[in-house]
Amino acid sequence: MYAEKLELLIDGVWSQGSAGETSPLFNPADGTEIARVPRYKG
Amino acid sequence: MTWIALVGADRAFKSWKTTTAAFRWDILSKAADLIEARCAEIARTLTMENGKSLKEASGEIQFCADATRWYAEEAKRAYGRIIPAHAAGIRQLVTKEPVGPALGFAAWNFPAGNVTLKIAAALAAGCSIIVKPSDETPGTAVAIGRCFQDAGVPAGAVNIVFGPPAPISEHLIASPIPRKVSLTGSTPVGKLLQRLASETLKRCTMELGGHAPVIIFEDANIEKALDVLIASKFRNAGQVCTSPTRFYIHENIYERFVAGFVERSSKVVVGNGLDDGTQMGPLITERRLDLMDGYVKDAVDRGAKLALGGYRLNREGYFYAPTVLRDVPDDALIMHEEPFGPIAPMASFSSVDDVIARANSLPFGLAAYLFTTNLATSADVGEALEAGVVGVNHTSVHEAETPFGGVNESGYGAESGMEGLDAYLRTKMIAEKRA
Repeated sequence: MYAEKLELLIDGVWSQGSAGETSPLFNPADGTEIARVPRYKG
Repeated sequence: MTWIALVGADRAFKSWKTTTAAFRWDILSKAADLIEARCAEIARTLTMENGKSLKEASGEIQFCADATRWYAEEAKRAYGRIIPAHAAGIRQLVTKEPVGPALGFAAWNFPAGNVTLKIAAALAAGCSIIVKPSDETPGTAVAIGRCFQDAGVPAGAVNIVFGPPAPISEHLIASPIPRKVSLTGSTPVGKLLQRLASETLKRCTMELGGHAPVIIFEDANIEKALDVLIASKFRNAGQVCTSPTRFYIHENIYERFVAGFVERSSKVVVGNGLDDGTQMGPLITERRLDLMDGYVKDAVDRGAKLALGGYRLNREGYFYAPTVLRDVPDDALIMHEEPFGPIAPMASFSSVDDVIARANSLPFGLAAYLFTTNLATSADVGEALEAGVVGVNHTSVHEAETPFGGVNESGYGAESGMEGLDAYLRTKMIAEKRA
């Protein structure tokens, strides 16, 4: 099971980034989506 | 618009640069300990994102701990010098100081190693850094970042951002705040980022693509060469910028070497990197499978013979069979474009001058390898090859303490080694005269 909590680290603070936008992260061993990657928008 | 990561990095730099080397050593040493202690969990994340075997992933994490410790120590050795003056009463001091806030753009093939080298070198030198890891391997970067933060790195000294590479790199590089760009990526991306960096004359380190020739001379120890090259070729499914990618074999040992390579390649265990016994995992994305098919078809169309593999595996995931192409002509696409996959293209040669010319025929110049038991051949060919790193009878060309980087269109500058620290330092000359 994929365990890492994906967050941005900006100025000492971990967060989910801007506007709730994310992109999918796939496990190449089976092609399944395992997480959503947050986006930095300034 | 000035992004908040830039503001944070700028503010953090102003205080971090005033810390002592001993203080930075302490924090980096703690970060190294945390990376080592969390090796198993980070390696698992890495394998799930990248596909490489847990054994390879664990080795990469251990490298990260070693490199961080090495930079912790090297922080103490950012020596300057005193130059004898040409007139009495003057002292000429040459000092090294941190270049400024840095930007690090990392690749997915060594998601922990790439990120760690950039963070550790920047922090050791007294720089803050904003890292943009690959969106294909974000969790590994987050896990490494947590180790540095938990070790006591102050707010803003390390920042990690994700998102579409083009707008992020354009915004960050356009800002006057960062004074350094370090990229591990492809040659086209390197050219693009260098153009962006030129607007504000930022210093760059460009660790870009390669297409490593490997030359097997007639006097080579073939069995040992096969042991080394099988492991190296299929490491991370061939998705390594130093992977041996163009095999030139002396005509008198060609058949024996190719047969041995095919036989051993056929035994490589392909599977999920989390499974025990897996030696080679999947490729990073489905798109890479199409590229592999294209390289094989093009080579065969031009006269190469398929000796092994050449197809995607019929299972879930992005698996491609270990593949050996023989009698590959020099004009085949795979002899010009970095395959970044588990394909070994092979061709024979007859003379030293001929094989050096063919090895040096591409614009790339990252890694090159030769296998010989002749010291003169080693010395002469090692010097003649256009490459930033050369391996003789082995392929381990990147350690924490050795400079690693390419020449020509494989980039410039180095990571690791004392050169890796120097990449984040600038030189200042202070001429003092007694008042």
